[in-house]
Amino acid sequence: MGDGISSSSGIEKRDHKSTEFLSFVLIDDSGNVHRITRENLLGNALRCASDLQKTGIGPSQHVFLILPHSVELLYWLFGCFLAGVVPSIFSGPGRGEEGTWERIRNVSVQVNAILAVTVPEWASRLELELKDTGCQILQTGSKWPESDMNRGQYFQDMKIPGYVQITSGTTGRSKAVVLSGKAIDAYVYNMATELEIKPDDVVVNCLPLSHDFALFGAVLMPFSAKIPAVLISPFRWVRRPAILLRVIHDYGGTISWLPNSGFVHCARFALDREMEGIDLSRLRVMINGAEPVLHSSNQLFLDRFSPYGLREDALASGYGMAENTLAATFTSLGERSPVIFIHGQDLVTNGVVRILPETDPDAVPVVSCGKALRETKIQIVDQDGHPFPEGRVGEILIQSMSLFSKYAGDKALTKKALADGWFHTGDLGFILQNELFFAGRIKDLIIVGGRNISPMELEKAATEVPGIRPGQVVAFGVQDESIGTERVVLVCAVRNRELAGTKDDMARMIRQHVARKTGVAISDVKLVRGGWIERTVNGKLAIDRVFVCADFHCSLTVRREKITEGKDITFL
Amino acid sequence: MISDTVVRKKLKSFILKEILRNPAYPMKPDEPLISGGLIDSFSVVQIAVFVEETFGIVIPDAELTVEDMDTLNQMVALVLNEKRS
Repeated sequence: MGDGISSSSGIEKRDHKSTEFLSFVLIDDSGNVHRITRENLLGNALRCASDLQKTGIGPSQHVFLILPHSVELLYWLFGCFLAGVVPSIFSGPGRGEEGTWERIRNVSVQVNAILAVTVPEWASRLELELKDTGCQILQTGSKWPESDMNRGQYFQDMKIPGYVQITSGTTGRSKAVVLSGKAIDAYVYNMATELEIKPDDVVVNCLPLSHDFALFGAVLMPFSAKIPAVLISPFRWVRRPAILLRVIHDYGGTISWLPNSGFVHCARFALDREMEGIDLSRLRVMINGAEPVLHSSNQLFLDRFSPYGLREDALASGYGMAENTLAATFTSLGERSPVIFIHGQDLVTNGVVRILPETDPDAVPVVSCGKALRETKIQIVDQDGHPFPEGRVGEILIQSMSLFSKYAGDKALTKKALADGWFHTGDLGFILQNELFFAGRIKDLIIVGGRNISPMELEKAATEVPGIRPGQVVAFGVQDESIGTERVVLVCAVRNRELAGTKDDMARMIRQHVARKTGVAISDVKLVRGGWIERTVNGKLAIDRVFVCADFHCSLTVRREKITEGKDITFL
Repeated sequence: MISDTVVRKKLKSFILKEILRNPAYPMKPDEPLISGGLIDSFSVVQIAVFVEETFGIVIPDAELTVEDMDTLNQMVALVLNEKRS
């Protein structure tokens, strides 16, 4: 595969009393393999902490780490913890370059970031963006002076002061989810206990470290449990998904995870020639999470890789979100995630779960997200907040030791989300025999490949294109089993007189602008005349977005579509 | 030697039918497909697998990037170059 990984590069035995054992193996975008011992991590993190302290930053103040997938990122992350400052990780600019910088600027104001650490090639652009925000820039790679911190201050004394997870909100504004050190510690401990971590476990991850799955699951949990983790460049995995399986084989990986779409990506595009000699039998937990889990995706993954030793009982799933640090539920170890077959229409129309035989034509498979983790309570409630019994669909509420403290810069949203001592997830679900099943969303959110995307952010970007009627754009996701995630659709109302070129040119212009601003690919752009999409005075859509989605799903190719009761819509 | 026309026709047809699922889409040869938000970067590997199966060419990892495979013209050039070498 040309990634520089030899089959003999397994993880050596570890002496946990020493700081010399291997903590991380990082495979960068070019395929170079970096082996990082605990001692090595400590030395470099201390230097970063020293640099941070020299900037005058105080305890609990907020630092942005805007760095590529690299050892530097790990050093600075732990450097922040040693210096007692609270980091947030941002992946560098991707395709939505313009939008990335804008988002960083907005969030820096929202959370009052004092310092942004970045690589020299991004520094000048960042400086321009942050010039009047009070956020200073610190470039990596400068010649570091010797650390004047106490070398005796080892990791065992390190207390994580907290972390701020940046995620898409439903309003188009990023949410800065503030997690206390206590919440993170509780999560890391509970997850390690739930996974029954043993000294010979090895975590393998290919998600970006800005993603909570990677940060808490593949960095902080393994570090705390003193097991190694292999951190594969996400770009590399996207290009050659077989690298995940190869690394699991080469390093004896026992625990790994992917979003549902990642299961499909691996199953479809890991080639036979790349899979030669791979044995996955050591893999004991393969978690499907970060987006709705589809039975078909799990089965596809199992069918593709069971000839290579993948065990059916390794297939696990979970449910969680940034506000709970990460997972709130997890399926039982050593058992494949349970699947039930229910009457799909009954669930959508009446919110009632009716179990059907698998062979029934109305049967829809739903995969369990598992049971509540230790020190976690899950409750399903109706619209008025009254608890539902098992088998009824309502909003999922969570109470746990790892809940977030607040949304930085948004008291009203915090109050609403944490009302009555529970976190109101905005997700729909039901419970059967203590197992949680996900059933949809109340909140306006699209999830593509495990990435949360605010429809409003896409709508706002589309509205900036000349000829689009202000506020008359609808963005939504349509589940596509063949890719295991949602496809994004935009319906835009245009001013005919300003229609630039053909409708194809217009759609192209909208798509390109939205991609530049947000980095999100749009599967379909549909144009309509004014009047079909309306917003109320407070800016909310007058039409029922869920209804649009449901109808749109089966009608992408037709010209006329019912969009609201009694109204027909004509696409241009 | 396989011609530009054949490679172009096969690649275009695959992208329209299998990735965009819209055979009528008026794709331009120099239209940025990934940076232009039409397909996502996950599709790069899908195209690479198609190229390997159809033309018997393995695109090197270093060239399997958005920068090198953003337009139909770039993809055709990549295939023809690899075929020549």
